[in-house]
Amino acid sequence: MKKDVLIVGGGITGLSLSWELSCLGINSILVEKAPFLGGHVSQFACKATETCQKCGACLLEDCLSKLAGAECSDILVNSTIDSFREASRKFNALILQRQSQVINEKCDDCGLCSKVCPVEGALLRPSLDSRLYISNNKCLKSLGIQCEACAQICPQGAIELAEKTKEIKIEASAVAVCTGFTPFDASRKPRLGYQRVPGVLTTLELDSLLRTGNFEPLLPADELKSVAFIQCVGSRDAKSGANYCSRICCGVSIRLARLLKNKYPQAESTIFYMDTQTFEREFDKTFGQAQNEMTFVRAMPAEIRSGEDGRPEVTYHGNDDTKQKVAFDLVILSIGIGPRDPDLPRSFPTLWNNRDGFIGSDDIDVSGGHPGIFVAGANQGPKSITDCVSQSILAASQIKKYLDRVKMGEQL
Amino acid sequence: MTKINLNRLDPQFKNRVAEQPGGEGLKACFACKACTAACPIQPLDKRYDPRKIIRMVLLGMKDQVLGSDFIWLCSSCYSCQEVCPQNVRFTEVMYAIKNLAAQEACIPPGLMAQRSLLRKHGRLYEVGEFENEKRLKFGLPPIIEHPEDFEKLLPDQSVGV
Ligand SMILES: Cc1cc2nc3c(=O)[nH]c(=O)nc-3n(C[C@H](O)[C@H](O)[C@H](O)COP(=O)(O)OP(=O)(O)OC[C@H]3O[C@@H](n4cnc5c(N)ncnc54)[C@H](O)[C@@H]3O)c2cc1C
Ligand code: SF4
Ligand code: SF4
Repeated sequence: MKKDVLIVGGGITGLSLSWELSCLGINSILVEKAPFLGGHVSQFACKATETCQKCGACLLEDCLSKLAGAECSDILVNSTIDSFREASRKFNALILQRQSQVINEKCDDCGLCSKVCPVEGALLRPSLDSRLYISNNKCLKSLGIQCEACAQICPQGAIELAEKTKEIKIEASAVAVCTGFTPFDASRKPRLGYQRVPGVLTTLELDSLLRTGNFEPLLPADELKSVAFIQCVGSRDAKSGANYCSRICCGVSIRLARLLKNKYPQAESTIFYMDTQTFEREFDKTFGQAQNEMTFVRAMPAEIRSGEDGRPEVTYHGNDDTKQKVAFDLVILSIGIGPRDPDLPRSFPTLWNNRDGFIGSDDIDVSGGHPGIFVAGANQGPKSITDCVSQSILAASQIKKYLDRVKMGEQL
Repeated sequence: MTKINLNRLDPQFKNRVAEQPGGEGLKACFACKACTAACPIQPLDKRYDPRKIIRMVLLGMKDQVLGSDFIWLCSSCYSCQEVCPQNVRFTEVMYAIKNLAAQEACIPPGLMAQRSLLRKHGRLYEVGEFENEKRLKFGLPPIIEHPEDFEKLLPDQSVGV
């Protein structure tokens, strides 16, 4: 299959790039390794209270619906790049697509399949309220091992297990790497109690709890009275190798605290921070208003332990210059954006690592350090959804320039 | 609140501390207060506040830092160092500050007394006949004082490294 552009990664950046390219009349093929599109954003809920909070999550739906009608954008899910070669300005990639799937129309969500599946994570739901997918990197059948447990038990016949993977050869003139980020693993900071102290969660986990409203295993939602947010977990943290600001988490915590208050008016939030970042255009306004809606404490906690009443207890140095130990119903760690270990084949042209371990350039430039290779999105550095979309527009125009020059046979 | 007189600040002070072994991380501090919250001494004496001491050094409050008695309160427990996200290594910064204080002859009298004990006996307590007789009863060999090394390390009554 011949294409102008091969896009690796189907998060908001890759999808938006695919759309922007199609607007310029450039055809592309997008390769996404997960069984679903959207990357991290597909897990986020709309954060609107009475008004829109401008979190940007709906940009994904916008983008997907635009792409549904686009003519020159092809998309492959459940696919990985197996090998990659460059010859005379052309990139040749071998794509492996695994094709087992749960047919959405037939599935009635009885959950029997998940119970019988011997591999954790092989049947997955990207978020609590999403449909079910088969992760072909984990499913035994996809990996060539005998197992059909889920298909056999499914009363609806909704599971189609494919015998083998499909090989697709692609020749492209340019490649865009949009492989996204890895959320910071909060258990790397054991003193903050993640996975040790009950009631300590990450912002990602709170997001799904808010969507389903099911706080049950933790506490009944109407008993939720006090919530602490701890900023900069895995950001501005030289010790964890993340000596940069993740740019999104201050906004994320404020929006989540507002949404909590909106759903459960008795829930009061306290935000522990060292600096608030004002990258979003209206952040100063947001921050100003937020100061009336929640408490801001300029202190990073020394530790979080299980208090006497079983609730998580935060030790910090208070504004009144004394050491405080305060218990909250929930403590939310506002985790940052980390570089993704690009699980691209070794034969992929070396992508240069930038200052913070992300790939590509240190600023907003989308060059991948090799003619014809471009980098955009959160794999290039921490970004919000709107920043990813803007960068994909820049990438589309740079790719067009490059392709025009290649067509004219210009020496690069 | 104490007033800060700008004319009496020493803008080079922070650089001098940062040049000392252990002082290197000083300027990376974000003033996040994690260290202060972890410090076991701060609740006992509010003047000993890791984050504030760093601010004082960065501001150039040399006399107020080196001449104070609170800088000697650090228990060297390393709690601050453990929690600091910025690798400031505050316990080491305190050693750097105390070394500078020693060079400027700002050592509290109690520590000076310990110093002369060290010079004289090679340890903080004199071991005399009484102790050695007791040791003999328990079948332990006598302790012979060797202050020579300390005399070399701490050459005379003047301070300094
Ligand atoms: C807790 C949290 C909350 C956030 N909330 C907000 C918010 O409210 N507003 C906001 O603007 N931003 C928010 N963000 C930031 C937002 O998530 C990112 O800006 C956005 O997800 C980046 O999109 P992306 O497409 O670059 O990367 P990703 O979303 O990470 O997508 C990358 C995609 O590439 C695929 N991929 C990776 N490697 C390969 C490979 N080798 N082959 C094939 N496919 C591959 C992945 O499966 C994935 O689908 C939040 C981030 C976090 C951590
Ligand atoms: S956005 Fe806020 S919480 Fe996130 S790293 Fe920056 S300052 Fe810290
Ligand atoms: S913990 Fe580190 S960064 Fe934070 S105030 Fe203390 S020394 Fe500064």
